[in-house]
Amino acid sequence: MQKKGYLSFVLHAHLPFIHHPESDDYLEESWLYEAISETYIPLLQNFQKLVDEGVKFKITMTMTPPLLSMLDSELLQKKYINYLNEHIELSKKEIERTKDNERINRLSKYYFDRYSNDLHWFKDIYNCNIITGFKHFQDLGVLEIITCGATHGYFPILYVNEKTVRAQIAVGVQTYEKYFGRKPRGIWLPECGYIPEADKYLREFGIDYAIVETHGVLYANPAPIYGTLAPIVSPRGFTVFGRDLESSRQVWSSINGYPGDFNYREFYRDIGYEADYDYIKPYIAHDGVRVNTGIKYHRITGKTENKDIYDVQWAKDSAERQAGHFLDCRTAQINNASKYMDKPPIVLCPYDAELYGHWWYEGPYWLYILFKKIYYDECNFELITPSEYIDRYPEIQQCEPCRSSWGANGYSEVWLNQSNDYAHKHLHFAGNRMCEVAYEFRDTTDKLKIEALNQMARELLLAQSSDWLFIITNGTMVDYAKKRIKDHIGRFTKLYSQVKHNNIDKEFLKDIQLKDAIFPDIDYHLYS
Amino acid sequence: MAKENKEKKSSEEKNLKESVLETAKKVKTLIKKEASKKNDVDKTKKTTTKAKDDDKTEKEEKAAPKTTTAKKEKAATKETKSSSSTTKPRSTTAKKKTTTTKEDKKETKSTSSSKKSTTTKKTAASTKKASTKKEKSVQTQEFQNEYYDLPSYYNHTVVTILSQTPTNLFVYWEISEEDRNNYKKTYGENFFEVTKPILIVYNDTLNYSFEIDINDFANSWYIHLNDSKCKYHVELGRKPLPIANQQIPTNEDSTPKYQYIPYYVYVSSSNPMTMPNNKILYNFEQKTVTYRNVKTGQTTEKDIGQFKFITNFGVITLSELYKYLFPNDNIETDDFFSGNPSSGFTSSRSLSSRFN
Repeated sequence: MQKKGYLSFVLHAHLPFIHHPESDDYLEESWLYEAISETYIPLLQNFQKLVDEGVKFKITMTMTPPLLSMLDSELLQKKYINYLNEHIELSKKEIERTKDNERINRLSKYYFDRYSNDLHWFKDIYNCNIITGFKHFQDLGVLEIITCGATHGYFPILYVNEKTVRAQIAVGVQTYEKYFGRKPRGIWLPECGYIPEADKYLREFGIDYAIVETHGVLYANPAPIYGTLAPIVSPRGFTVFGRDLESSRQVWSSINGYPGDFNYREFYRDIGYEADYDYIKPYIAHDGVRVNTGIKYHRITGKTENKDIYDVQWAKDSAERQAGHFLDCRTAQINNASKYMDKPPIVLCPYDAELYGHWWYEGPYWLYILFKKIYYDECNFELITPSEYIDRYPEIQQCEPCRSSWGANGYSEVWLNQSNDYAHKHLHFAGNRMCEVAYEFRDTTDKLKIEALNQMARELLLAQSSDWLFIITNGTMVDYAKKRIKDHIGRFTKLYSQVKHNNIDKEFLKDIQLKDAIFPDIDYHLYS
Repeated sequence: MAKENKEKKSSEEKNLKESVLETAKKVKTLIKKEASKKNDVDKTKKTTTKAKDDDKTEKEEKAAPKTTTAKKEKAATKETKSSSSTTKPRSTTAKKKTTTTKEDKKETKSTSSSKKSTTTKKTAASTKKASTKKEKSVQTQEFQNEYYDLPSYYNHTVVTILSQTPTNLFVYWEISEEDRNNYKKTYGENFFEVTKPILIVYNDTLNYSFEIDINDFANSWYIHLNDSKCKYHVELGRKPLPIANQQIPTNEDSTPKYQYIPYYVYVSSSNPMTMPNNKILYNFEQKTVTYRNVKTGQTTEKDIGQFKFITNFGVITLSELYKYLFPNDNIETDDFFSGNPSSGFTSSRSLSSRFN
């Protein structure tokens, strides 16, 4: 069938930098391990299946600098292997414990296989570094990896000091180049936070495009003639693609969104909460608090507390049915839109990567089936990456995109409200101080001072992560997020005073260099 | 039905396992190939990082005998702590921020009691457990215990505004010691007691301004605006209270003890801030559409009459066109982004609850 339009999936893979060589007790570290097991490895495996089956597909993913830094950390790699070994041990015990219930027992074996398989892939295939896996698919041409702000700093609030936004972009690009050996063409603006003031810096570092929320395009000036079905370009030459509303709603709708299917795995029923305490104790938090283990035996079932047992095949059937529904809807959408448009519409579907697998457990499989269907079924569109679309259709309507984010209500409320507004003053002052000392000591040759200044840049960047503000708003793990802001601002401020007074404490510097071991090649002159 | 499913499932699972193993092998070989390519590069990288490490250890050795610096540092932290506890807890508006003041107080209390206990309960409890789980530990190194409070005062005069929503501004401010003293020198020792702070909000696009009475217990404020999509700046100033200028001629030797305070005293001005747009900017008068070729940077104007939606369908207005392009979306309603996922790994909790 003749192709009338395009579909573009963009998965944003990001986790804040959580790295605690000083302790094994930070529960937050397990976010990375869960994401590797439930999202990153399943995505890689499904990409590989598609490649093996000769299915042509295109997908775009952000790999944010903090995530890359963690995936590259030997310490965290070792800890992830520990995590897997614990899970293999636990699921082995589960096979024994559940032997009287055939359906659950089958699931225990399934988890045992999965975690064993993860360990095999992680250690033997990826050599403990799954970045190589993603790079492999980028080099094959099926995956386009884009970059992000260095630590996911939220531009619309940071840009009070534009140099700090420029530094976020610069370090984001440097980190990308380090791991992928080329320059990124696209960026996922942290939280999709778009401000026109950042365009010049994005262009300076050779970035062509970004993903923005629907109204980033729809509320542009003048209103774009094709809405979100085509990209727009700012007067400064920076292209933005807006999220498609219709497809987004299909996945996210609270009434009939895909992840709510009754056959899908229930996120909340986890043996970490349900098994006998003494039995599960070695596998939950070190302080004995019950947490998710990732071993879950129930399906959503319906609006009931009486949950049925999860069935892998039923879940797959649902995923296949939904993939078919999604395909039909996009076909109709593109068929309709292309009637009115002078160029092929592009339907852009951006999501948090961790949606796929971590909490929509069947998400990676759904994506695999969808991509297969798009390739084999008679369908009127094909998959594309944003940069390919730009290359094919470089004539783009020029509009001023709207200041926007993808947070609740579309602007900055999530990162600026009465629960977290206290933080911004400190982030701004630290940013100004960074610029001040970077300029003051721009010509220094004192090695220790240079190291201290570079560490200050790391501390500033880590403090700027939008994640801390988000977590405070969200109300989970608030203590941890507040502590992170305090720690990084605290370390920064201490170093600032030491640098100014020429009394740098080497032991202290060394200590925080090990704790906040990110961006080894950073150069503080970024701020001068 | 169920049995059939089971059988189907188990056979499929086997197939799946086999295929997974196969693909795994393939990936392995592919990646090994790549790895061998990259080996050279990696080697050079490793050697450079090693060199760096050597540098570090050298420095550390040199630094070792200097234990005095550590002491100094401790003293420094003590100083900062005592200063932070003597200064008043961050002033906050009584109405808006009672919760945060409570927190601040708690924090300052705990710091004064003991250093170690200030770390969160979680870590305190878990360190106990850690001893029983040493075998799992990957760490070998000793690390410093740290505790920080956010600086309470930067001693800078600044007014900063941020846009929260298209019609809500957030403003925070601080006045340096030096500036405070200068005001006292100029207007009298009791300048800050006989004046009150105000914010003047300037809409620089539509050229109007309005005042907001604030108070000295606050150091930040939210301001509601009527006009989105405009450029604003905010000025911090002070106005005399009714009692201010009554006290002027009170000195015995007839030299005025207090200075006359004018109607308005400027303190500082904020950064400019353009507020976001919050609606579709239908422009019915638009006759042309500007296109830019992103490869060449050239812009061209296209006559709107040539477009397919007009020539084939006679669609004339943009809002009409949007209705055709997005038949299943109500893009004119404000809450079209209420279902936004937002971001963040931890959000999965709150999100998935919507589906249960």
